[in-house]
Amino acid sequence: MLILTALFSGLMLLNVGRRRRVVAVLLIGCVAILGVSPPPAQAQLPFCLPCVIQAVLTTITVTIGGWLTQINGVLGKLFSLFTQTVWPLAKTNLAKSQIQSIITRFLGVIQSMMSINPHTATLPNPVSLESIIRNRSTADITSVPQAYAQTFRPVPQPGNIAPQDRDLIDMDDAMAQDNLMMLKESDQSQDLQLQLANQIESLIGNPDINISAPGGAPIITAAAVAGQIQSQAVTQRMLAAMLRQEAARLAHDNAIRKRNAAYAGQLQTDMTNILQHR
Amino acid sequence: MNGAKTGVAKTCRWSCRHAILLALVLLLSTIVVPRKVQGQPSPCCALLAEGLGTINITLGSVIGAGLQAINVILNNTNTFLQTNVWPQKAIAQALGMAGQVGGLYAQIARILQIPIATATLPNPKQLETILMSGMSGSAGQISNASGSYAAVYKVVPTPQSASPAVRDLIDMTDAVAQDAMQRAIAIDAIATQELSAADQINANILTAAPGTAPMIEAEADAWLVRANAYTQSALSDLMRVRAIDLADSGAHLKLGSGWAAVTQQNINSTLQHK
Repeated sequence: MLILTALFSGLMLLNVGRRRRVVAVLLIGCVAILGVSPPPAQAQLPFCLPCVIQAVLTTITVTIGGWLTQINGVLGKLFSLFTQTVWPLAKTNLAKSQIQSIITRFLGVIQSMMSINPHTATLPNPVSLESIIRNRSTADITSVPQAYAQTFRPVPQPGNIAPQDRDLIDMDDAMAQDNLMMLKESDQSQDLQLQLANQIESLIGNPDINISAPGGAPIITAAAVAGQIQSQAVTQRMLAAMLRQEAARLAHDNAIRKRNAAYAGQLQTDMTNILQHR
Repeated sequence: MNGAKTGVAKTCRWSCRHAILLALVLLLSTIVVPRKVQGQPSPCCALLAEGLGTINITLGSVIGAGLQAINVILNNTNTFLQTNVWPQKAIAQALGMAGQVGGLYAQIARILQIPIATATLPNPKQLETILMSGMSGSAGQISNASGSYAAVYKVVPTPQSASPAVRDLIDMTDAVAQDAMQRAIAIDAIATQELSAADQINANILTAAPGTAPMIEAEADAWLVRANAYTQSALSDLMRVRAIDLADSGAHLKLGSGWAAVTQQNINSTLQHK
């Protein structure tokens, strides 16, 4: 640009008169253009670029890289914890084999003990009743009253016994028969509970990881606990039945005592009357 | 040399003649000539490019490799958990078992609902109906038990009919027998409610996940503790009946010895009068 200005100056000196004015105007134009043209800007950075890049690199390498290394380390430890401490496959398989061992060792023995079902009656009616009350099935539950009556005889006819005694006998019979029927129900319930226990044990001890896995155990445990509640309910039903029976027996004895007291009072009155007549 | 001088002189002369034309050309050149630009990259840009390149390499090696390692471990953990801890098929099997438990206990509940009633005479029949009413799950019939009990087993003798000692004995024994019968109704009703609750819990298990199953189990455990307490309560009632039965036997002997002494005394008195 300085060269161009010098050339314009030279041209101005070379020309005179009208041409000189024209050249001067042109030169002023050039100078004006140069004056208004912004000088090329030399960018000045207000900071140290290498330092900034180094800082970013340090952040990436030390801070983020360090955190990633730590996260990686923690995840690695978690993985080790899961695979070696909490759910080691070997231990899972060991637990299953231990379950299988318990099944093998105890289940057969205990089932053979449970299968002992004595039948010791010898005469036809008792044999029939014994068979019905010990067959662990409710299919023939309605047969109990008939077999019971054949063995223990029915309630005497009204003319053969005092009404109070008939009531007592009928109530005693009812409680006894009800409990025998209740026991048939509980026997069948027990068999179903045993069946359930076997199924749970068999499932949880299955060697296939797609059938039994540690993660499925809480569901089975919860189901088993629900089963325990129901087992308790069955036990309570049996206890209630026993309670009724014991209460009825106590009430029976007490009724006899009441009658004896009445008889004693009557005897005393009769004796007094007899002695007075003499 | 002379040729050069001559050429310069000719050029000067030509310039003087065409001064305006040259000035215009120069003006146009000034306008159209591009401004001075930085054609070569500055040292700053080179530094920036190098720095970005280093950052890129560092991102790839430090963060990329770190994330890749994390990804590998997470994948391994995921595979392990899905294969060895919570396989979908095993969870389905466990839920299937919960369904089987529900089915079996529904069967048991149906068995326990088989009606049992064998009394034949009116009074025993009425008492039996009341005693078995708890199986429906309601203890509402308890208040009717005393009347039916008295109809079958009669009431405490009047003071004219029995001694105070005998009346006390009879009343206490009646009380325990009636209490036990009423408790039996309540326990039956409780057992029925427990069966329903357990059924509901079992239905909840069917909708549970392995992570939430322990929560349902905790609820079931609470019910189990409760059920154990009710069982113990029933056992307590049974023990009370047995205790009073034993006390009755003892009292029978005591009364017998008392009557024996009185009888002996009466006979002595009679003989002395003769």
